[in-house]
Amino acid sequence: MWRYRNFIKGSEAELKWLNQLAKRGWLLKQVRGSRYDFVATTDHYRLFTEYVPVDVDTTVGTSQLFKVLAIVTLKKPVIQVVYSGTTAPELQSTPVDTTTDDQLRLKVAIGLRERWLNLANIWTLSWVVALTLIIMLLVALQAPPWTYSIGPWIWLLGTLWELLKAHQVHRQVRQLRLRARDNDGAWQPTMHVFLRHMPTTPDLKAVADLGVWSFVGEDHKGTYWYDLRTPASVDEIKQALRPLVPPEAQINVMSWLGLWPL
Amino acid sequence: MATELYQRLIDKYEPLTEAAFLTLVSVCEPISSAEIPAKIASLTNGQLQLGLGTLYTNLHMMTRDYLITERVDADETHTYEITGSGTAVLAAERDRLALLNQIMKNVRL
Repeated sequence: MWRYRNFIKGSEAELKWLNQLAKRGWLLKQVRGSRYDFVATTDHYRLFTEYVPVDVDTTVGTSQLFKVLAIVTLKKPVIQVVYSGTTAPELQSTPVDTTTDDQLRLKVAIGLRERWLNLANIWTLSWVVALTLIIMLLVALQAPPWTYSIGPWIWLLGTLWELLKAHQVHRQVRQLRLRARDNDGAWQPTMHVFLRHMPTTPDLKAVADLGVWSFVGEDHKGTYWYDLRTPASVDEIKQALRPLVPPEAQINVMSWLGLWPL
Repeated sequence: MATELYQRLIDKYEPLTEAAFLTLVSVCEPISSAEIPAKIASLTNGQLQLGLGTLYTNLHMMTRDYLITERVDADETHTYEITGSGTAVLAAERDRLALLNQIMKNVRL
C-alpha cells in the first residue's frame, strides 16, 4: 500500500498518522518525497521519528529492540529523518528520549513551504511557455473559441492547489515559530520610531533585543528616526524606550502601516 | 595536558543530557551497538529508553570527542567502550548529581 501525504517530515502529525496505520497493520517501508510505502504486518509496532545529522552512520547495526524502517535525507536543512519502530511490549508505553526539537522541525517546515512555492513558480513559468505554443497551435488549427480557455483553467487549478499546499505548511510554520520562539527570517512589521528633543544621540544598546533597529536619519532639532522590525506593540516599544531618554524627550511610534501615530 | 583535555570535555558536556548520560553509562564495559538499547532498558528497569537516532547521534558525537572508542569487527559489529576522558566526564556528572541529591535530601516535599 502507498499513500501521498504533505507532512512535515519528523512532525508530530506525521508520527501520529504512521502509528495509526501501524495499529491497523500497515508498517512503514519507505518514504520518497511525499509518497509513503507500507507493508502489511501482524506485529504491533510503535514508531518513532528522529532528526539525525547526515554524518551519523545510521546503519551501524540492527538493535534487539529497534528496527530502522526508513531514512530520508532532507536538503533544507541538510539532515536525516530516521523512522524506527519497535515491537517490544515493554516499549509500547515507555517514555523514549528522541531528538525531535521544534527548531529543527521549523527549519524542515520552512524548507517544505519553499518547495511548494518553487513548484508554483515553475508551474506558472512552464504554462507561460506552454500557453504561447498552444495558442499558436489553436490559431493555426482555427479551433473553436472555447478551446482557448482550457489551458488557463488547468494553470489556475494547478497554481491554486500548490498555493493551498504551501498555505497548509505555512500555518504549521507559524505554530512552530510560536513554540520555538524563533522569528528569524520571518516577516515582522516595521515600526517607525521618532525620538524628538534629544540632547544627544540615544544609546539603544539596552533595547537591541526588541528587534532589528536601523537608523534612518536625524535633524538639527534633535529628532532621531529609526525603523524597528519587531513583533512588539507600540506601547511595549514606548515603555522600553522611556527609561533611556530624558524626561523632556518625546517618543513617537508610527505603526507599520505608516498611517498614523498610535 | 590530559587534565586540560578532560576539563575541556567536562565543560562541553556538563550537565549531561539524559540521552548522553545513558549512552555513556551503557558503554562502561565493551558493548556492541545492537546490545545498547537492551542495556539501557536493564539500567533503567525498563522505565526509560533512547530512540535509535538519538542513540546513534550520541555515539557518533562522543566517539568524535574521544569519550568513547569504536571498534568495527570483520563481521561489521560495532563495539563501543568508554575512554579515560569519558570516565572523567562521567565522574564529574556523578559529583554533580551527588550534590543535587544531597540538596534534595534536605528538601521537605
